[in-house]
Amino acid sequence: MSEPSRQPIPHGHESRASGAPPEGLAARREHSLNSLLELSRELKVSLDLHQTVDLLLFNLMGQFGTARAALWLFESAPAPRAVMIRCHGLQRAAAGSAIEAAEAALRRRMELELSPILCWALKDDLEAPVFHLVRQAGIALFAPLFAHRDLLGLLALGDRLDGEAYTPGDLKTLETALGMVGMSLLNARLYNRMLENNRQLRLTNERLREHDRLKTEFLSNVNHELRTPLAVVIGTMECLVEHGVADPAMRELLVSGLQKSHDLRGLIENLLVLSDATRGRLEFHIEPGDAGSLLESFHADRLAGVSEALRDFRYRPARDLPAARFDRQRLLQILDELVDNAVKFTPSGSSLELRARRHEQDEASWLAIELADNGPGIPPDRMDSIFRSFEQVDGSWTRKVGGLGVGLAFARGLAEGMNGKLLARSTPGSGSVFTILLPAA
Amino acid sequence: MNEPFHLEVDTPAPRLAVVRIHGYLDAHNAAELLATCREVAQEKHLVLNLAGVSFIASSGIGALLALVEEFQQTDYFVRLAEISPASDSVIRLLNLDQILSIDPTESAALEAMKAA
Repeated sequence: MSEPSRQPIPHGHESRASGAPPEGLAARREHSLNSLLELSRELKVSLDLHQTVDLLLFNLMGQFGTARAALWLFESAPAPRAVMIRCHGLQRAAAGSAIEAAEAALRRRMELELSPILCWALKDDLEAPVFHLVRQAGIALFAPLFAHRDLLGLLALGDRLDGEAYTPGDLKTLETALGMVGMSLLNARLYNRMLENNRQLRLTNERLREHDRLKTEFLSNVNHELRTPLAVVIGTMECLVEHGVADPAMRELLVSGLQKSHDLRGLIENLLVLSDATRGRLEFHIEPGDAGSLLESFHADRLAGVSEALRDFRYRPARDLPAARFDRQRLLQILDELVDNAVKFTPSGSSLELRARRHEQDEASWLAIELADNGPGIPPDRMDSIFRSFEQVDGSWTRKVGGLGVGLAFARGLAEGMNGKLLARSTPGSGSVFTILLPAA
Repeated sequence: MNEPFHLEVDTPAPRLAVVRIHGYLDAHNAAELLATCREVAQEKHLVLNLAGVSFIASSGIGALLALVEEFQQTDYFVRLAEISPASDSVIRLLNLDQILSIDPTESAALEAMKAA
């Protein structure tokens, strides 16, 4: 029995030459082939960007026997840069710094060679401190991720745990694997973009409906403003027609004016009926329900867009979620606002996590729904104003109603309208957590 | 018929967690394995019992290695126990039996953890 040692897994520069016996080589080749088959099979069923990257990294780690791997994708806007999508075993910060320092040289080399490069072969391309940084991060090789001839991203693998060197055959296998994954990732990004475009289209339709509702509300307000003075005008004219004007010509003019005023009132009445019919007051349809299934479908709906924005998005519900009292539509509006907000205020490569759990507070049971990010956080002096910012900027609350890029103030209003709460906490540099509390049913 | 993938978790001591893996370990369940192990073995040493593993794909091995490395970067560590024949052949092929802490039985792994 081996001792439980703290002995680290070796990741040294000194790799043993591959000295496997012929039968070992045959078994290795079979293992590589099986790994490629697994990758090919699984790529057919996955269109999720982060899942595909995890699949690739775990597959390669298991294929080559390394505990360290990471993948970056290149973001074209706002500025070209590599965004870390997944990292296993490598220290995120060290690997991130190494790529940042070496990215330009790696791009140049890879666009020329289109194939994996062992780190030692980069010695002439990288300045000594950068080369040192790469090795310190535990990276043994880099490989480009291409689709057609476009460089999509960059893979890094650590040393093999058994100390053996990556062979030319390994690099060829790696190139084959990345060739398959490049196309798959391109498809996943295109697919995610299509889903997100569909969602945006749906939102645009909702916004158009909202514009229409606001137009009706505006008309309604104008109608009310016109109707009251018009009633006074009509009353005065009727009084004059009945009692005050003897001259027939003047009386005829007055009758004509009165008739037109009646027509105007009729028109306004019709407009009022129309606007009342379409006016969207903020109504809540609160009923007990299973928020877990709503959160799951919300996560599925938003995943593509968030992934497309190169952010990871996970849903982690606790077991045995309580039923809660809420309005499905209003809860979705709050969640949309919080996710939009998180995507807007976190950099690419960030992670968002949607969580749900039971929560006891103020002698009451709640369903707590949290959206946590690992972005830059909110400065303490801004915490008090984030829920008021909309009022300050736009000076009106009602214009936000129903999805015109609903602000946090509106989201909190919706939560309170469901007898719930919307809270925020944040640690600058570590991230923010927005919590929706809904009364347990 | 192959046993479907599932995980059985146990915390036999305050600083020890055991996760028993059953069925196929591949790309489909690598993420679940990682999430479960992270959850049950927070601030604990972890024993992974592989007796019930009927097949392990490269992605499964990759997930195990990611887990071992992740724990190694904390003050806790992972031991593998009761490696099934299906897992053993891949682990030996990659020479991981020389690198990872492997015990013949779960109780031996727990004893080794307690002695650490």
